[in-house]
Amino acid sequence: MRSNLHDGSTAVRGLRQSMAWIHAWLGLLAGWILFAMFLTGTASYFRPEITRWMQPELRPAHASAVQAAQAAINHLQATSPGDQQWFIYLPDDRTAVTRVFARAKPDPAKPAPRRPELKLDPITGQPLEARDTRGGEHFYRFHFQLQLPHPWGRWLAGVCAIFMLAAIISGVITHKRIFADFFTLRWRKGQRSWLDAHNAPAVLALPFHAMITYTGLITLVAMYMPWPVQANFKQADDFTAAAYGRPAEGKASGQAAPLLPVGPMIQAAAQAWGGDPPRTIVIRNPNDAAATVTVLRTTASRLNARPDSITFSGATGQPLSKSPAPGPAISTAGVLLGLHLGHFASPALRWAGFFLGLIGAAMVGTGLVLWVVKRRKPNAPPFFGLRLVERLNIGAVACLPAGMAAFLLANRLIPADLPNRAVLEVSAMFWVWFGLAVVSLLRPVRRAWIETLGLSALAFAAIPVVNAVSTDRGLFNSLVAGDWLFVSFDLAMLVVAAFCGVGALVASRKPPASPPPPKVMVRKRKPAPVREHADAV
Amino acid sequence: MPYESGLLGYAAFASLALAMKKHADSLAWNALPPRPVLSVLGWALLALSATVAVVRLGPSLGITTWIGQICLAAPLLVLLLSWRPRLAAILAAAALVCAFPFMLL
Repeated sequence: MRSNLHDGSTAVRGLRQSMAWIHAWLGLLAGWILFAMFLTGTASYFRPEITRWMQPELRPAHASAVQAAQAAINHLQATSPGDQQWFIYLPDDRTAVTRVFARAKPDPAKPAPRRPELKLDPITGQPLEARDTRGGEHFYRFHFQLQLPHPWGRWLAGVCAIFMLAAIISGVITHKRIFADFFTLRWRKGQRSWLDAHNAPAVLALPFHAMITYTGLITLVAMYMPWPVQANFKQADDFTAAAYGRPAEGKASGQAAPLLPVGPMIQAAAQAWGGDPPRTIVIRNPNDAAATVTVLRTTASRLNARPDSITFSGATGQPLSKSPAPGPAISTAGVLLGLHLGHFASPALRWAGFFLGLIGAAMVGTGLVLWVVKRRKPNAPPFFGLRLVERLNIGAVACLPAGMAAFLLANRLIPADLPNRAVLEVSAMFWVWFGLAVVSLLRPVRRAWIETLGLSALAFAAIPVVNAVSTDRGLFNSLVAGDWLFVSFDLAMLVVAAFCGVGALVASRKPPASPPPPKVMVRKRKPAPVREHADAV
Repeated sequence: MPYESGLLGYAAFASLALAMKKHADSLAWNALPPRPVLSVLGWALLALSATVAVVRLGPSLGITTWIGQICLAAPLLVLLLSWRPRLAAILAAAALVCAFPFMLL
């Protein structure tokens, strides 16, 4: 612990130094997890696209919302007309299939097992068969659940987000030359360069970092801080009803009545929403006189990610109710969530978000490296903490990309009909990630950086090759067919491979002045006292 | 997404960078406009880039899209400026020229 009491300098300087200390340690403790959250979160901007790539058997078929909804209902009528509830997730520009989930009537004598979600052809309504995979959902879930049991993953992600927010604020206060060095990036100058490489992505994309961190934290705030709701509402349901309106929960009348076609209801809803298409349709008690059809609006064109909805009677087709106009607090929460998810973004803006996410990852990664670079003494052996951090940095920054590539490669290499293959794909990511991190311990630090980054580059570069060999949707075929999703996916993998390759090249360059530390390890040496220079963080 | 907003943002940041002595020096060009002019031009272009996005998409989506684009334009400029400063400046002029036809569309 350091005190800045006897610094003998002004209060501002003291503040900067304590902020630098906070910044370095918060950033270090959360940095490894934050890097993984940034990288998998960035990939999640393309959640439906990754899922589509991971099920190459499915070809996109375009159908209007009315057509897809009616086709799905026809299928459900043929298979399970007596259900309690049907959920129909309609296809849009980004998803190729209709997804349906049907819940049977509760039977106290024999509770039915939860049925799996089905994928249907949007045009014919017939079930589609494709390899079992978590798809883009895996990166998305890992990004805030960290593959830990509920609720620990979300809590850990929340703690890291708080640290990140504090690191952003303390970092800005610490940075003395924020405007003087605004456009500065100097190469091949050792520690100075690492500092620039940390500051430039941090400062130049600061609005994005602050936005994504704050909105991410706020998204789960009701879980992190449940007390305001508990203090004001007896039951969680009361809060939901007050905030979002009471859901349609009518009981079945027991009187049969045919379910009317949903086409006119969808059109009426679209008219009420200025032409916006529906995203989801929920049908309760189909084929009953009390049947309801709830149509939920798309969120693809608005910042607010909370969909409004209109509920119709399934027997008469008359509108019964619609979601209340959200109050200012609920609208704000919806917009903050929407900003984080980015569903509103056009493809070009989504790519912008993707690269901004990579810039965020670069900021965290260079920050982690900077922690080590600042504390390494040219003529002293590295102390234990330094070596530990250095190794964890390699594992977190250089090995994770290889793991993510392994997840995608496993999708193509594990036979499509192998049972439990979705779980195997996920295991592939963690075995490769952590396995590579362990194996890299056998190599000297600099070699470990070069080799793990090089392997990550190779793994990403292999994805288009393996895709071309294992499916008929390789780069050449996709180009000929004008299948831009597969074309961009392959190209994106090559770009990511290039990024990793550049990283390996940078790592392989000789450090400028300082000679490498001597090989002799002196154990039990006390760490050299480190001063956080405010102007150098 | 209004691309002209991002192009103008890139040109704006380039002007602001070249209005600083150390970056102007790295270019070693005599024909560069005086630094106060570049500074004013930079701020004006930045304001224009925000205006274009807001006019095109309305305040909420416009500001979001504008911030997204300038947060990307600035790191791109800094990378180029540190690697090939003259290329960065030439691209800024090109971005400015390209932005205007977009704005008329």
